[in-house]
Amino acid sequence: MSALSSTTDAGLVARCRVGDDEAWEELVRRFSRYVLAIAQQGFRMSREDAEDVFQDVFARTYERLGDLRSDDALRPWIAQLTRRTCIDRIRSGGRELPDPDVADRERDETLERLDEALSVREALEAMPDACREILDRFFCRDESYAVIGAALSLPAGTIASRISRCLGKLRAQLEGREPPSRPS
Amino acid sequence: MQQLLTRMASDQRTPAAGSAAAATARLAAALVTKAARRSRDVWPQAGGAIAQAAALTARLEAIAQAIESTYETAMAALDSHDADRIAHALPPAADAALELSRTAADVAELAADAAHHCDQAHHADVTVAAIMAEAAARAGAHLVRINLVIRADDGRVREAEQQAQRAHQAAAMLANER
Repeated sequence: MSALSSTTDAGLVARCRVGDDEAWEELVRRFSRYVLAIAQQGFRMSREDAEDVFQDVFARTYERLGDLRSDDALRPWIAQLTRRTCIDRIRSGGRELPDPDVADRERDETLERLDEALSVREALEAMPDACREILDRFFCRDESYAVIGAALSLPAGTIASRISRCLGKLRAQLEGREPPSRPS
Repeated sequence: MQQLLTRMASDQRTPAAGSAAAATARLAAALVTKAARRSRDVWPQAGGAIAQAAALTARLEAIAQAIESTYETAMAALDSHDADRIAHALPPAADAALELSRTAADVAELAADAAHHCDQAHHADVTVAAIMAEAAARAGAHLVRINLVIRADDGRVREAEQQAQRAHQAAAMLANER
């Protein structure tokens, strides 16, 4: 985790605008999986095409960061930029976009899911180390209670309770968040 | 459930014992979920237990599929009498059974945790959940032990027994509380 991982999106944008390389690296790290997921899950692109979209999106983000009217709106702005880049790429490849109504609906649902996942990930990163680690081990790495207990030197029979308490904190963290602003 | 029972009772090779044990563990996780859902008034962290039960259920679904497919492959290898094929096909079946023991033991521990926080009207539900999960963990350990290419001193046999023991401790503790 970098020192900037707890910096808000608006804080990152402000630092990127004055040429802070470390802030730019954190911005790319924070949104890289999001951009790839929109391309691959929302537009069903191949890994190679999604990587091309990734390059284009971050090149345009770097060039146009000054156009962003509200620094808080970084996430929806990147989402919109990614959508447009995906559509341009599909059209330039001579491929047909699927039925627009069905595709838009499915894509909106996918984007909503991805937004939710990103919010959970951000909230998780803001959690105390002990909670982040135990939740990551159980929900992301699928480790058993026994493995978690041994790795973290926690008494057997207490892991499920600890996970529940940490989930409670994560929920409070998420509920205390502002919903992402609309793209500017 | 009816579909599983029909398939289980059919003359096809699978689903068989491992799938039945995995389904038992999934039912146990569902009982924990019910107890947690009905205890929200007295248990602020009930949502955490529900989320863990959902994660364990998802793992058990994947394990059930792995158990079926590895068992089919192992039986086809045995039918072929090809020693190399048998040597390659049987260990994954033991790995899937070991994973069942691990996950079922987690369900038993989750049930034990739920028993101490849930509305006590549901103590019997989570106790039965722990007993069912223990049965599934023990079944997994048995399937590891009887795998033809696994020796008695194999680490997987030992670990599966430990997982079954872990599940037993959780279930025995609850059964002795009432």
